[in-house]
Amino acid sequence: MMSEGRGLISLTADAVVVGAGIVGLAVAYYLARRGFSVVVLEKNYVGSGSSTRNAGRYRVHFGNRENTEFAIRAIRKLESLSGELGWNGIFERQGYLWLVRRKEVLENYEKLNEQLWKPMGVPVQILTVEELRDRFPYINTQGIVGAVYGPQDGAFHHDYLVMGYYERALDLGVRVYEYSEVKGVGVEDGKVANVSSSNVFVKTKNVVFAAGAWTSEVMKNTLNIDIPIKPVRREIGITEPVKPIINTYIIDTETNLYLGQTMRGEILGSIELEGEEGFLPYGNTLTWLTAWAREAVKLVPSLRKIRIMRIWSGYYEMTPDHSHVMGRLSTWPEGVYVLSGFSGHGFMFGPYAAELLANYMANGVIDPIMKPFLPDRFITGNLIKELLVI
Amino acid sequence: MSGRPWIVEELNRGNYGVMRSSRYGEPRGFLCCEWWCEGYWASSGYYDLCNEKPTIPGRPNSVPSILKGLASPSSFPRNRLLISLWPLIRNTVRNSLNRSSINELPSIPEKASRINVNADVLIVGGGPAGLSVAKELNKLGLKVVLIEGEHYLGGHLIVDDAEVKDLGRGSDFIGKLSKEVSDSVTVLTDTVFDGFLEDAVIGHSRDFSKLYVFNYRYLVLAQGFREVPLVFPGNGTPRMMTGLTILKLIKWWGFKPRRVLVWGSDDWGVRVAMNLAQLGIETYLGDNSVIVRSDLYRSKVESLGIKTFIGMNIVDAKDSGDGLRLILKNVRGRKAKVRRREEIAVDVLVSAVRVPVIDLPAQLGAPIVYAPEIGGLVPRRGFTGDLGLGNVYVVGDAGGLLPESLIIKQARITALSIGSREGLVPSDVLDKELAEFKRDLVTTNSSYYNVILRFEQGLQGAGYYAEPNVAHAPMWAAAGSVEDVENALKSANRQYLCFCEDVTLDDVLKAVRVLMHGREIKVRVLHGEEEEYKSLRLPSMERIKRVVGLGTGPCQGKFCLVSTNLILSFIYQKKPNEIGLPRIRFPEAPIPMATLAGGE
Repeated sequence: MMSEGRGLISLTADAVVVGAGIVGLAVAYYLARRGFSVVVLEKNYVGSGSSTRNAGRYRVHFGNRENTEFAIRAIRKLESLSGELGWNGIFERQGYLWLVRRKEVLENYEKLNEQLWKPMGVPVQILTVEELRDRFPYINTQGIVGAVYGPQDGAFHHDYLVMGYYERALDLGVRVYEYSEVKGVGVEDGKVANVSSSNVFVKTKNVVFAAGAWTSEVMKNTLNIDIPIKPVRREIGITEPVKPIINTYIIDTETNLYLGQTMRGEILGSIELEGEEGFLPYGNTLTWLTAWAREAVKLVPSLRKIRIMRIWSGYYEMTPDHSHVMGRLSTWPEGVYVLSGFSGHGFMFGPYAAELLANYMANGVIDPIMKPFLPDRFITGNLIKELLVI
Repeated sequence: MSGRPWIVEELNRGNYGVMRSSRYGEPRGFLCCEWWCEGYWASSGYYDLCNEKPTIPGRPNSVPSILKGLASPSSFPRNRLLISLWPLIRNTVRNSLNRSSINELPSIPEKASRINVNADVLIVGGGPAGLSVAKELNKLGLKVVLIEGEHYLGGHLIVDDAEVKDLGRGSDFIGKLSKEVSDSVTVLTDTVFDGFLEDAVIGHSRDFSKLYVFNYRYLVLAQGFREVPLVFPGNGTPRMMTGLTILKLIKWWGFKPRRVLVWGSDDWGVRVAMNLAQLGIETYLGDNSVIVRSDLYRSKVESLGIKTFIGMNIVDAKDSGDGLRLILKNVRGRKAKVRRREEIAVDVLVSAVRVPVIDLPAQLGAPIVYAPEIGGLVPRRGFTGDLGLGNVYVVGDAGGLLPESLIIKQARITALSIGSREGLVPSDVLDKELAEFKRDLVTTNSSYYNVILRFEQGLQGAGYYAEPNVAHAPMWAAAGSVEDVENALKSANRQYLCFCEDVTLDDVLKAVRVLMHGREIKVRVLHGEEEEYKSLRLPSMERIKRVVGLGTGPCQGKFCLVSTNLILSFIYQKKPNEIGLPRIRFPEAPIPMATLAGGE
C-alpha cells in the first residue's frame, strides 16, 4: 500500500494535519492544546494557499439557519483571536453593505431578517436610498432600490492571524514542515498507521485533511476517498493607499462587485465573474481587471483617479451546498478526518471549526453545532438549503 | 515634463527633506526622478514629485520618537499593549498614516482609449540596449515597436557627457542612435509596460489617456538597471539620490550642489563622478571594494582629481542642516592593520549602486539566479538573451551588467537570433557572429562569459553563497568580515530597507527570528557547527514580507527586494536562491481605475 520509511525524516505523532493554512494551523494548535503531539505537512509554504489570498472580511449573515448559527459563534471566536494568539488581527466591525437593485431581492432580505437574523440576535438594517445616500455619500445610488447593512460584520488582517497560529502552535511543540507534499496514508486493519510526504514519514493514528482547495485531490490520491470539494479561481486586487474613504464593505448584489478599504488605506476588491472550476494557474485576466475597474468607478465615482497597485488570484473551495465539511464518515479508515470545503468562508469559520474538530477528536463527542456539516450529508443528500445566496 | 521641477527650488534652498515617510512621517532621504519611482512617491501620498507642480499631501503626521518602537513594522502586529488598546487606537493609527486623500490625487483625462499595438517584435526599454536591438531588427525588415517609460530615449547615457569606452561621448552617441531609431521605428515614450495577463499583455501611457494592448511575436526586455538606495546606518536622513537623478537635476534643471559623494565605483559610478567633476563640483568617490571597481575608467578618477574613499563603509550619517555628515571607516577584515576613519560633509550622497531590473522576467516566471560577477540577481538566459520561455529575450544590463560597447554587440546577437528564427538570417551568419561575440567576452569580460556559459550548461549559479566583495551588490553585502557584520547589525534599526513602508533591517531580522521561532541564527558560526548551520533553512522572503510588509508598498519592492535578499544572504551566509524573492505581481506600475475602465 505504502512505501514505508521512504521519507528522510522519520517521526511519530498523535496526529498529522495536512495543510498549513489558517484551518490546518488552527487544528494543529487546538489539538496540541488538548495534549496531542502534532505534525503539520504543507506542500508549499505556510499560508501559501487561500489563507493569504482572501479579502480579509467576516460576516454573521448567511442565507440559512445552520451557517448563520455557526457564523455567530465562529465570529465570536475569530474576534477574540488577537488576545489568544498575541498577534493583532486588526479587527474592525466595519459592517457589510449589500446594495440591492431589485425590489424582490430587497423583500427577500427583509424576510430573512425577520425570520432568521432578528430571532438569532443579529438584525440587519434595511436602508432606503435616502438613508444610504446619507450614511455612505460616496456611493452612486443610481439604479439602487435599497440596501442592507449588517453592523456585526467586519474585517481582519489574514497574514497576522496565520502567523499567530503558526507561532503559538510551534510554542506547543507542533512540528511544521513546509515544502512537504503528502504522498500517501498508510492504513492497517482499517486504521490509519502512518502518513508520508515527499520528505517526512510520520507514524500516527490520526490524519486531518485541512488542505483547502486541494483537499479533494489529496484525499483521492492517498485514500481513494471522494469528497465533493471543487476549486474555483477568483481574482482580486488592491490599489495604492489613500486616506480613509470607504468605511464599510460594499457588495453590489447585482454586479457581484465588492469593495472595501484596508487599515493601511488600500482599496481592496473584485468583481466575481463566472468562475471556472479546476486548478487554473494563479493568473489574472484583463477581462476581469477592466470589469472590476469599470464597475468600481460606476459605483464609487471618486475612485476613478485611484491606481491599482497589485492583483492576484486564489481558489475558493466549493462544496455542492456552499458549506464546509467537518468530521468523518464511518466508512473511512479509523483516524481519518476532514475540515475543509469552506466555500469562501474558511478564514472566518476556520478557527472555531478547528476547535470543534479538535474537541471531537479528543473526546469523540460531536457538538450539535457541527452536525449539519458532517460529510454524510453528501451521501444522504441532506444538503444545507440556501434561503438566499448572499 | 515641461518646466523646472518644484524640487529643484527646494533643493537649491537647502531643503532636501522634500518627502515624508508613510508610517513615521520622517523626512525621507532618498530621492529619485525616474518613472519607476512613482510608486515610492505614492506610498506617502506624493505624485508627480519631479514635475513643476507635484501633488503633496496636506499636513503630514509624524510618530513621536517615543512611540516609534511600538509603531515599527515588526512590533506593531505583536505588541500586547497595542493589541489590548486596539479598539481605542485604530482610528488614530489609520489616520496617522501619511497618504493623499482621494480628492487630492492628480487628475486623470476624462476619456481613456484602448489601443491595440501590433508588432513582430516589442522592445521594452529605450536605453542603449533597446535602441540597438531596435536598429538591428529594423534592418532585417521586422516590424518593431519600442516602448520607454521616460519622455526621452537613451536611458542613462542621455545625461552622460563623459567618454564612454569605444563609443565617444555618451550623450552624443546615444543622441544619434535615438534619432536613427525614432526615425525608422515606432517608438512610444512616456509609456509603461505593465506586464502579462492571461488574455492580454498591456501597458499604459503615463498621462493615463491610453491603455495599450500589445500583440507581438517576440518580446525583448531591455530595462537596464536601477540605482537602489544605499543601506547604511542613518540612511533615512535626506540627501541621497540616484546618479541618473542628480545628473538630470543638474544638467537639465539647474540644481547646484557643491560637494557630492558618489557611492559605487563600477563603470557607471565612475562616469557619474566624472560628469560631476567636469561640471566643477567637488566630487568624492566611495566604495567598499579594494580598488576602484571599474577597469575601464579607473585611470580617469585620478586625472580628474576625484578624491576616493575606497575600501570603506559608511558607518554613520547625520543631516546637519547645511550638509550630510558622513563617517566612513575602512572595511577591516582580519588583516587590515591600519584603521582609517574619515568624516566628510557633502550636499548629496549619490547611489550609483546598480541592480538589474528583473521584474518582468520574474513576472513571467523566468528563474532569477545569483550571479555575483554580473550584478547579483539576474534572469537565467543564454548568450543570445533567450530566456527559454519561447519568445522572450533579455538584453543589456537587465540581463547582467556589461560595458555599453558589449551591450551593443549583444543586442546585435539578439536581433540576429530573432532574425534567424524568422528565416531572415542564415544560421551560419548567426553562428559566426555569436562566436565573435563570445571571443570578445572572453578577452574583455571573461567572468561574464563564464556566467552565461554556466547558465547555458544548466548550472544556474544557485549553488553560490553571497560573496563579501561582489561587483555590484548593495554596499552592505560587502561589509568585509564577521566583525564588520556584527558591528553593522548593532545599528540595524537605523538602516532602512523598504522606503515605502518604513521597514528597517532590524524589523527584518526580528521577523526572521519570529519565523525561526526563537532558534538563533548566528553570524559567527564556530567550527563544528557548520554542517548544522548549513542544513538550517531560513524563512523565505515571501514569509518575511508577510510579517513586516517589506515590498508591499506601491513601488512593489523595486527598491528593496534584491538588496534585502543579498543582505540577508550575506549576514547568514546562505545562498540567495534559498531566501528567494516574493512573487512579483502585475502591474509593473500602478494604473488608475479610470484608465482601465475607459480603455474598454
